[in-house]
Amino acid sequence: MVADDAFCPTCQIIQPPDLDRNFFQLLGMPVAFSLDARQLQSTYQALQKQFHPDRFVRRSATERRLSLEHVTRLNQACQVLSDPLARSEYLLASLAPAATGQGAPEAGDPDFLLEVMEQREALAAVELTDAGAAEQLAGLRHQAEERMAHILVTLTTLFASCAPGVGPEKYRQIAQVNHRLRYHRRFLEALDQAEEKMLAGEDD
Amino acid sequence: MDVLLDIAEPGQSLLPHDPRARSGRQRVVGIDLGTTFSLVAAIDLEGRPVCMPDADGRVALPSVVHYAQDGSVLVGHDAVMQALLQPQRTISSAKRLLGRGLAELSAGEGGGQTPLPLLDGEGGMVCIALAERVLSPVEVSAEILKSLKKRAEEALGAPLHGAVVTVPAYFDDAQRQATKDAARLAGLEVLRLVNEPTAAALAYGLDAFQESDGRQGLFAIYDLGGGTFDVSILRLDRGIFQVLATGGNSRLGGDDFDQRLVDHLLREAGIEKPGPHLLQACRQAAREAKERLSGSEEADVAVPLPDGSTLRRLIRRDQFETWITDLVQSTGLVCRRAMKDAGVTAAALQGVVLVGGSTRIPLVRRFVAQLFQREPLCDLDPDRVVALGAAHQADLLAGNDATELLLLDVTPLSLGLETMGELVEKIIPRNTPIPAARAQDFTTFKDGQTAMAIHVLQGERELVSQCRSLARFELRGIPPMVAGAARIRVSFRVDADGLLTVSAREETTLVEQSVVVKPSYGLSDGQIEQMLRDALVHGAEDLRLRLLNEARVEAERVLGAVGAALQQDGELLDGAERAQVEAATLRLWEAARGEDHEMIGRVMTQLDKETAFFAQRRMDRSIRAAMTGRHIADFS
Repeated sequence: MVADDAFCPTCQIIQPPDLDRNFFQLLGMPVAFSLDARQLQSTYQALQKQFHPDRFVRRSATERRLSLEHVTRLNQACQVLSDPLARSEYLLASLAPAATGQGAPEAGDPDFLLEVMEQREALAAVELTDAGAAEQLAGLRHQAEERMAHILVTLTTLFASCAPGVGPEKYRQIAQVNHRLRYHRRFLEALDQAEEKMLAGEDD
Repeated sequence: MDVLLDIAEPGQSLLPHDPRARSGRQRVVGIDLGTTFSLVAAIDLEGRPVCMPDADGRVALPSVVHYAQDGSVLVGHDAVMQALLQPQRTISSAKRLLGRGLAELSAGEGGGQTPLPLLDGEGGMVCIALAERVLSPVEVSAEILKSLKKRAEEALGAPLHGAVVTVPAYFDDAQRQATKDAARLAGLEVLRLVNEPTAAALAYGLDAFQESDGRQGLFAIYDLGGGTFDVSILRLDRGIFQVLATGGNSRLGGDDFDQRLVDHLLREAGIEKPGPHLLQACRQAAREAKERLSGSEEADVAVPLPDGSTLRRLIRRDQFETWITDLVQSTGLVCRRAMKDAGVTAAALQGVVLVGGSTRIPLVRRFVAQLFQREPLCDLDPDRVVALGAAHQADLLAGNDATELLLLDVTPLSLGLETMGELVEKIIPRNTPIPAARAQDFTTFKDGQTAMAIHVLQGERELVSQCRSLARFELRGIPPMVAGAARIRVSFRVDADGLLTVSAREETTLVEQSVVVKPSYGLSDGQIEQMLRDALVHGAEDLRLRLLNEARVEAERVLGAVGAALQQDGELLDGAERAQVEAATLRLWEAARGEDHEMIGRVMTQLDKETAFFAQRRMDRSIRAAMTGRHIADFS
């Protein structure tokens, strides 16, 4: 088990979480962008079985509090690692904290800005009450998802080439790609809202 | 005593001469606190969950409370009898008012469920006005819980150690807190608040299905009760019930179907303003008709009118279905959204489980089958399944059940803060696994700003006015700085019961303010204590019994701990010392069988003194064990 030292070897009582451990270490995953989702899930489940507050209901208040802290952090770690964007941002922040703020499209990514604006305009043009609205929204979703999949491949390559001592330019590139991913994520959220409005219109 | 308790395994054997020693189980129950009726269940000797019946063999306790003129309180069937005679003293469906404000109720759905006048109570919470007293829905719910607690304690022959109480998955923070307050008021130790659909999944033993085919144990739980609707999408994997997404409407249920029937009856009879008696009679007739229409194609309704005549109607099932079809269909959007949040399609599901009495309605079943593209599972009684699952969960939490099942749940609604322009910034999005914590940094927008208002909201919409306000507080004492220089970190924490705490801190000076997000809408601790005191004034006997029960439970816990310590480390004592410890425990055991809670307390303190040397030796042993790198277990 990954976190054996979280219990006192003598009294078997739960100890405070080790906050120096990053989310990858917490979940026993290699510190890398590529990730085995199945392994993540199975480690997460095993740790939940050890630490979940339900296992400490009749223990002392301190033990209950510590269990809560462990699992709160575990949940957060799993959420960050499960989501490619959050994972990429988290990894970049740990590799090169200074690079995180860089690479905004407003500063030097005009082609991407144009692409985003076209997408937004296409979404705004969809008449939600039209018969073909669902199909148009699905088309936009498909397009956005393809672009995101493409970005994920780029990110994997970029992170894989980040050997120790790599220059700041590489990290700036990653920061830029993260920004693109974030834009697409927001666009998908806008699509969700449009779909919701459309469905609500159908049901009422 | 602390030392003894810490070393002893919890829940281990009681002393050998205690007749309960053989079982060694914690007395825990699951309670389904429902809108129309409530149930209590426990695990029987064969390890199966069963609902506990009342003296007349009925398991469902109508969630109806009658406050008689003489100050006495009737709960359940007796209160239902009174509902027709004295509607203005009888409260039903109080769950719909739990944790709600008057403004939001009169604003739309959910109102008009009780024929009694509603008032704005303390803390913005709605209250119910009876002839000579004003009651909060928390107090009414506490009466129901008390009645179930009494039933369980009579059946088990001793006070309860704790209970799991279920809540609709879609209950917000205010409603959860109000439920917990009600339990506290009823003198129940809440082991956990568990979401109703999750409890139902546990009752169905869905984990057993998981191995049967290639799909990864994905289930939808469709829960339509008397007053609330919930849907949860769960994944079952290696003994873990993981909720992927949940959704619902905490103001939609069978009550609304009844209301539609009532509206039609009154309209056809040309009655515009029915009095409370007539309304109550109509409602009861409507409910009965609705229930009959699930089994037959038509139902007779007869309601006595004030002028002495009788309103008679024959209602056909297809008529009833057209009256409620929009309500049923509105659950479809919620289900589709939950599936989307969970990232699953209807085809990927392994099954759909029906929970709640309203899923007996044939229209609901057809709708669910069509929506999820499969026939729903309904092997268990939909009225009992939540209570049965809650009993199972209580048993797991108490450590009575050695299986390693675990429930992992999520937040039903997004939690956020008000930002500039009356917008809500989400801090913890809906369907985040709990317990959860997130922090967000804010800054000051004016030079020299020394305070910052924090407004906590729950809901999915973008505007503050469209979300539920949970709490407001102010972070003061920020040292004057230029605009944008202060760094204010606002932290949200949601615990395993789904309850929120918010704190704010200025990071450069560490000025901190923290609130448990409770006093702004619910009952403050002071109010609850006042209510407890008020209740106790009405019955000094209650107080004595309560203290006695508490002392007995504590005594039992201590006896269990000493017994386990003797078993584990008995060889640390010589014959005389062992006899001394045993004599002290026997005295406590005797005292616990008596009726004097103060005596139990004194004997417990005495036992503590007389066994201090034993605790000390056990400590020494465990320290020696640590120094030689061996576990305590290695010595035995």
